[in-house]
Amino acid sequence: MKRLALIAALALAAASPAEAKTLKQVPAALNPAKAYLLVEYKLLKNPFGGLPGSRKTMPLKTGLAFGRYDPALGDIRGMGKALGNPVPAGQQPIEGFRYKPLAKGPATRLMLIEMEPGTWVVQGFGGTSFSLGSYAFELVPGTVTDLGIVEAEPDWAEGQDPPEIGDVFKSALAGPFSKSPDIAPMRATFRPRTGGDIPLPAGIPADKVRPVEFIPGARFGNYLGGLVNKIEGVNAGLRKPHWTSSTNR
Amino acid sequence: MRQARLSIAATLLLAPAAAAAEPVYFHKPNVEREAFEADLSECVELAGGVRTPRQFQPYSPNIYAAAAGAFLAAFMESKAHRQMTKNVLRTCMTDKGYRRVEAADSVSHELRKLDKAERAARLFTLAASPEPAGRVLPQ
Repeated sequence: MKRLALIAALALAAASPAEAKTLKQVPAALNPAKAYLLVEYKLLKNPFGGLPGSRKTMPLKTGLAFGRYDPALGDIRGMGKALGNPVPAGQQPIEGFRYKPLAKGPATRLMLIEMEPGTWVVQGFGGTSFSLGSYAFELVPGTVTDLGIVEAEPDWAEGQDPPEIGDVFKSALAGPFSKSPDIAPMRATFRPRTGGDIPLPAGIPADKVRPVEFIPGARFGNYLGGLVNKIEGVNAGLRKPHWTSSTNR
Repeated sequence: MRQARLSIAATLLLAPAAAAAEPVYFHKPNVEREAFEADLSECVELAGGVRTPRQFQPYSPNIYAAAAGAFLAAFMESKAHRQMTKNVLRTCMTDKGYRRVEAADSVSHELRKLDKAERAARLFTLAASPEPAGRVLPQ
């Protein structure tokens, strides 16, 4: 019986599509059939960081999700409007976040991910899907595409605020009958790598590194199951009428 | 299809989030019916993608305690789902230039008496009217 279960588990593992690899070390040589993505996360601020003994930043539990994008059909491949253009067998249309940093800074984490070449889109952050408008980009085989530094924060709507410590206590005391705290979708901002950031890791050939070229305006369905937003933030855009996106273009 | 989604949205939008809350609808002066249907249809579709995370329910060997726990977990899950759905609709419709309006008592009473199709038609009239019929809520 145990043997049967083991065989079934192995068969299932062999049949399931291969995930992108988040690398903990720079590979000795870049795989010419794969593309690499470099991104540095700025850690989120702890909303209760002001309390004595609390950490100032949140641990990186969630992050960017990437989707294989079909710009002509305007959706994630194999889903919604792009149902007719699935990814080849053995590949995944969506790559979720996995915490395996290549390098750590005081409030930053650098990730190197081995992915399939092609057109991708920044699909979401922490469960928020950027379905209302995100950035598509190309991953070229055998190269490292540097997305730069990403900083995410909640995109609070007008009249809404992050919960304070009193709200947390009230909610804990009243249980399911308490007023639900406000919720906000996330928004993300990218900027190019500068001198103050984690430098490019040794071992990555400098001639193989290319800065990302974001193509804004990519729209798609809500496949992450959470809230939705524009990558720059619908609410942030309302607060700043002359706001311009900070892309690495 | 769009008409069906509009009817669903009419029910969804006019269901108050809490017992004390007034029903809410979206308003954009002089919006065309086609545009309104397309906008609302897209937003309802995005809201349809919401999957509420499972609520933690501790194990209990006592069947009554387990039943009470399951009831509360389902209650919390349903509350969270409504809140997330409303947030998706709010963000999406705000992005398309709509304002949320708290329907006046007379309007909500009138809407409750209508069937789904009539309610959807009335909802469009309200959405497209030059002036909102109720208090304009934060965006």
